[in-house]
Amino acid sequence: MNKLIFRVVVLALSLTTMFTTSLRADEGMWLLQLMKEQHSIELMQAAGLKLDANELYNPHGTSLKDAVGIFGNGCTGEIISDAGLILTNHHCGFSAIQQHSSVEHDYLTNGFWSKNRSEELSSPGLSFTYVDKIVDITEQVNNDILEGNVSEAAAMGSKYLAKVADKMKANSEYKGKSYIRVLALPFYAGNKTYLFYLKVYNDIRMVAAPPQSVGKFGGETDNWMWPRHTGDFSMFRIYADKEGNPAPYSVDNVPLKTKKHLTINIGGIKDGDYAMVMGFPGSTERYLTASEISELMDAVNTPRITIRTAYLNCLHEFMSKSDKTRIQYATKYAHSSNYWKNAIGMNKAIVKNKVLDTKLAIQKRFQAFAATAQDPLYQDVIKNIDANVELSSDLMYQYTALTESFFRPIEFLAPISLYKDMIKALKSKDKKKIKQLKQDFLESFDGIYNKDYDSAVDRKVAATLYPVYTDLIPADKRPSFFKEITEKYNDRYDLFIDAVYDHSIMSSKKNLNAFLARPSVESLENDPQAIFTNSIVNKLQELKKARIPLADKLAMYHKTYIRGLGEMNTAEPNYPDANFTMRLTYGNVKSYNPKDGVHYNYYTTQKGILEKEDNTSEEFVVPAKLHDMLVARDFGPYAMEDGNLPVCFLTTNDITGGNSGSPVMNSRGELIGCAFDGNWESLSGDIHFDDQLQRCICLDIRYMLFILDKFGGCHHLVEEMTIVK
Amino acid sequence: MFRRSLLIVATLAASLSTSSVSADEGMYMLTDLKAQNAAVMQDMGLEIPIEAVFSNSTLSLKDAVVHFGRGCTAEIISDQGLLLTNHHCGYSAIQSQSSVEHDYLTDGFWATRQADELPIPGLTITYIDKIYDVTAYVNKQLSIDPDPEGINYLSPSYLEQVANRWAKQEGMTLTKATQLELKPFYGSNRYYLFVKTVYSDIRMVGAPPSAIGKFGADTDNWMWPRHTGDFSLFRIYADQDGKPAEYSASNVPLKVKKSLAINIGGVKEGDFAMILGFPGRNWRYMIAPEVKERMEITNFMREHVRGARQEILMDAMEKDPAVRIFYASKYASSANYWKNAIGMNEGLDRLHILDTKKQQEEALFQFGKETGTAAYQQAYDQIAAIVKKRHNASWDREALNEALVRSLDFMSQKEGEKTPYPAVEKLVCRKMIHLYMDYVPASRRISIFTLIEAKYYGDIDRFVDAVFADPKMKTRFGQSIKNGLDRSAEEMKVDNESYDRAHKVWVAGIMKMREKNQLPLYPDANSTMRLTYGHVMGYSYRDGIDYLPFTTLEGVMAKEDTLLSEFTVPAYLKKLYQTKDYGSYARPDGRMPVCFIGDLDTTGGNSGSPVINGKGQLIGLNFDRNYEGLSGDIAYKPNTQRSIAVDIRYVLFLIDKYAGASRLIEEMNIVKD
Repeated sequence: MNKLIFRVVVLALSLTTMFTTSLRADEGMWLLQLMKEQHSIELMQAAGLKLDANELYNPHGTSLKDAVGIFGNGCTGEIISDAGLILTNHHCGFSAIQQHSSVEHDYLTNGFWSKNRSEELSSPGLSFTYVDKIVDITEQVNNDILEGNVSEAAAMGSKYLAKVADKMKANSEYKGKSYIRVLALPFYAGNKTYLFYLKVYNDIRMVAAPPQSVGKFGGETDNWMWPRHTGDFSMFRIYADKEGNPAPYSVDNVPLKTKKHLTINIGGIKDGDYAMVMGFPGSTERYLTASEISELMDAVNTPRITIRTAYLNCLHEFMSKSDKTRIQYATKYAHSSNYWKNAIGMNKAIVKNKVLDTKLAIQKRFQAFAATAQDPLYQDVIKNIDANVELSSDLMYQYTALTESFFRPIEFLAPISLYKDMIKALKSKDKKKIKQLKQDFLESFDGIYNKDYDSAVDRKVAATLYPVYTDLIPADKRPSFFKEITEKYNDRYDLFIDAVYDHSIMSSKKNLNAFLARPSVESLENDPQAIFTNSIVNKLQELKKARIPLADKLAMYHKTYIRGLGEMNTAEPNYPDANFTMRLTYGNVKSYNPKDGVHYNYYTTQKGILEKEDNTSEEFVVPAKLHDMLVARDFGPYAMEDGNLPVCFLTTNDITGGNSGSPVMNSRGELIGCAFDGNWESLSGDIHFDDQLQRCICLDIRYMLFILDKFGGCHHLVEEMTIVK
Repeated sequence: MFRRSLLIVATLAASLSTSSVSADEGMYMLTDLKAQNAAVMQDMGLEIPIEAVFSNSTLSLKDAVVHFGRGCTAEIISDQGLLLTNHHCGYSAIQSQSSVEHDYLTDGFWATRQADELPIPGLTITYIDKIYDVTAYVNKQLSIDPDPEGINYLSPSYLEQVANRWAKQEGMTLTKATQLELKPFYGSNRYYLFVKTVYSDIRMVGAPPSAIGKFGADTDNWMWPRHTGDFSLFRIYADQDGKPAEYSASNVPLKVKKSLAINIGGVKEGDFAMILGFPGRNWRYMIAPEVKERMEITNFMREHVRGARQEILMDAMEKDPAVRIFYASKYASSANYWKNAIGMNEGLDRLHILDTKKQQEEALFQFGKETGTAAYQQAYDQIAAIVKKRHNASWDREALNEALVRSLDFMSQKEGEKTPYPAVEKLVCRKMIHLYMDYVPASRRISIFTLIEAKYYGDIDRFVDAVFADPKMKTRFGQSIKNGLDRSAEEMKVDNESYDRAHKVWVAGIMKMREKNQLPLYPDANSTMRLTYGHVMGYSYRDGIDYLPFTTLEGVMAKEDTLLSEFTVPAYLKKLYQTKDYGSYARPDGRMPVCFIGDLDTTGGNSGSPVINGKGQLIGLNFDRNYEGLSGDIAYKPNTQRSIAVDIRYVLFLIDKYAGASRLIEEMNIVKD
């Protein structure tokens, strides 16, 4: 076992240019806890940062990191007042906004502007998570491996890591604090392990959100695109108990007195300015081999594109016909289309940016290095990965087709564990259990027929996707219900779908009541919805099971490969793949040339909103009030020197999904923007950072303030903030 | 920055008048340059004396620029009469020599020896020998000649008589190849006379394949960024004495007196550039109601009628290569102004040209008040009233013209001549008749529709079959169309005459106002030789997007799409790109330049014009205008209008490296700085 996988070498900055393999200036999602050790802080300072490491991250005191947290489950938010005010993206707050919306109070369409704190709306299920403490537990994990307590592969697994984490918490100052979550995660493909103590606040209230025509301006057309004109922000507030500790919602809760909030700078930005983003990038796979990237393109992205195209077209048809359906399916549509477009763009970008060639070149270098390296495992590791891909890619393809066709889009799935329990209870004639299960059936029914569910839509989705799936997957690899269709429904899948949606126990309250009146094993076993659900779940498990040995092996190969890459590039600091932990990326405000003859400027203005305005297209509607304000050009302190209103800007920061809502800060750590997207050219960024073309798209903080203050009339919120020029 | 000195003029102008001519606007008469533009041009970067650009008495740049055919410009680039023009200008010549066996459209054509150069019957080039301002002479003649209908001042036949009279008075000796052209300018407030020499033995020397010369085709037409190698080469032949002559095997390449030196030193943003050429038509002196009329009638019909016909043709062309070759040129010429019409309307809206026009009108009314005349207000009112009155007549005429005159190819065939693709023609004919009926109400249609109703009970299919089966029916159809045109001409005759008179007054007003404000003057384009100057420069396309002034071969490769015929890249060009075998034509950064743009004021007819640097050397070949500038035919907007040129280095690279025609390179006079 190699000891320190991850090498720390004192780096003389002037040397970087001597290494042909030197890391690109802007690439890197750096670990805050390693800034000093890795000397990445010195790279940042050389690039223009005016703060020292402790001001960014201080394990023993307050720092910028204490103004940044996880918003909900997949976004970043930052604190911008001492009263717990959170800034994040509109698309991060989207499900909360939707949750509060109805045809009567359509906050999606009209926006939401609370006039005082009593109007702030509690959003059940929403949380804000601070990173309280980070501990390096690599040695402990390595000891466990050495002592044979855990296998090397299992040491990267969530089961083992959860156990370690719980044990650590029980022996720490956090013992017994239920609002502290503890999480251990592997980094550098398992070459390093960190433990995170997370403080989770659950009383989060909606404070302000612009209408979609601002917060989602440009819709799907502009998503992943530059030039951009989206006011993609929303505001929430953390509430806590009187002591400032996390507490479930209560009217007695008060706004959290935050120990750190970001200062906002409205002095403006220039091309080339230093910019950094702190946040929670979700996942990257920068250390993939060329074979793995091909697998990603062919076995994940391609079937995903095919299936989602059909799904989204189907939803769109319903949504354009009814406001009710539009509101019900808005979030589902947005989620699906986001990574639909991502998959399309990624495949294109991989080709355009010649990512495979780049990876092959790295592999070639690695192979040469391996021949001289001490570790004998390096020699064959790429060959092993390639062989593994050979075996796994068909499984991956099937897996993608199955989940994309049946698990994500189709909501009408039977609660099969409930069905199993009922069968057991009926067989053993356990009356008490049967009575209790009947209640569970009723609850489960309400769960399916929630406020955002429309059975007619779901049925049509199923009818749309069945043939798409069968086009992709040959008969012998399909879930068993297709056999049922052949045998019992004369190959008519539409009849099967009708049976599922009309004749299942859960198909209607009437059916359910009839069943509950006379529950029988037979009706449960013959239930079409249960047959369908069991069948796809079984298929999924079969595929997962088949992949486990391959995945375990691959994890080990990756651990070796990444260790080797680290050794090969010892002279440079190294960052691990994103895993939704806190990172810092630094770079510059920067324009770029997307194609021959075309230059993209680093910022956009209100002029572009008026250019794009099209009140006949729902994506490009501009609210009349905003239109008038933009034409009148009364932008107050938020205008640029030339009198125009800045809207969005570009930086070279290395971000990915999860970074949405992240603060974009200047060299003094002051908030200048809010990151919300990557550009089209960066869609292969999760597997390869492209220095020339990859950009982070940020909302200019001045546009946010203009909308909040002048358009939304929330001057009281602006007064809470610390604003400098 | 590079407009420094002009700024003074522009600021002065802005303070004096809202209808100022912007810095780089203007298609100037060559005879006006010395007095009106020379100082500004020299300030902007012209390094040679203005007499070297144009002179009636010594050789100048104008002697290396000729009218190519009737609608394009070409320049002479060797002392052996080698002509450079656009691929799309040479297109019908290339097509006329092409067959399925020798498909020069697809494969390109390169004459390896002079003897292989292909004569193109019917193709001519025209030299402009002299240009004279004869306003005073014509006005004097008009005052003494009888003019019962009062239309002599515009009548081509009358003006031809005056031209001959003038030549006689001047003691000019006219040969058979000499032509005199006397034309009205500025709505006939001025007259110029052109002495020309026409050569008619013109031979095709070289043309790249359409995949280069028409790269991007309709998708990229009128668009920037552009990557088209839009050029072709021809040669002037003359008799042994260098005199114009009909084609003869014994003719020899013309030893020209003047040809352009070619500079491959490269162009930079901000460089001075000028274009000499023959801009066809524009309408900068229209008033707002005329602009609306143009948008709602002419452009509307072009967009919709041509769009419908093109759809049918494209469908047929995709199915059969022979059909493709036969209709290629017809399709291209239709599509060209179809897209132009769409883009012009978009631009007129986006740039609020109607508002600009209204401001100009207000300024002239104000000027009228200041100078104590109501004439301009009256002229305006007359024009506005005429536009209103002629609405139905122009609408019907435009519908007739687009649907039944321009679109029905078979109708122009002589008796007994076979229609090559009757099935295609029939499809088009049916569609066009239906469209005409959609646009023109029954009471205003041409007479044949009475017959269609009476004899075929309105069944268009049967009528079209009859036209194709029965020459008599075809003749009747043709006669009815002709009668319709005649009738509408007659209907509009009085209005048009009043319009001409009012327009003359209106233009005279603008001229006086400009003269008073010391602004340069230029007349609307009318296919006579003009000069425009400006700078090589990009533009801001949309908020956040700037269009750069240059494109490179990288962009050709990025646009390559093997599935689309418009964006196919020839394999050999790809090979040259991969091996970077660019010879001495690459940019300093190692890339191969392809096209560039500048704020030069051009229009159709300028195709093939030389783009010339401050030293009078050829740096590019003008071939198009950007989409955002299409409303420029009505009003020039300096921030959006750009003319598009092929970089001369790309042309030479293609001749030299791609075609291997070094014998042509050797003829040229190439300099690097």
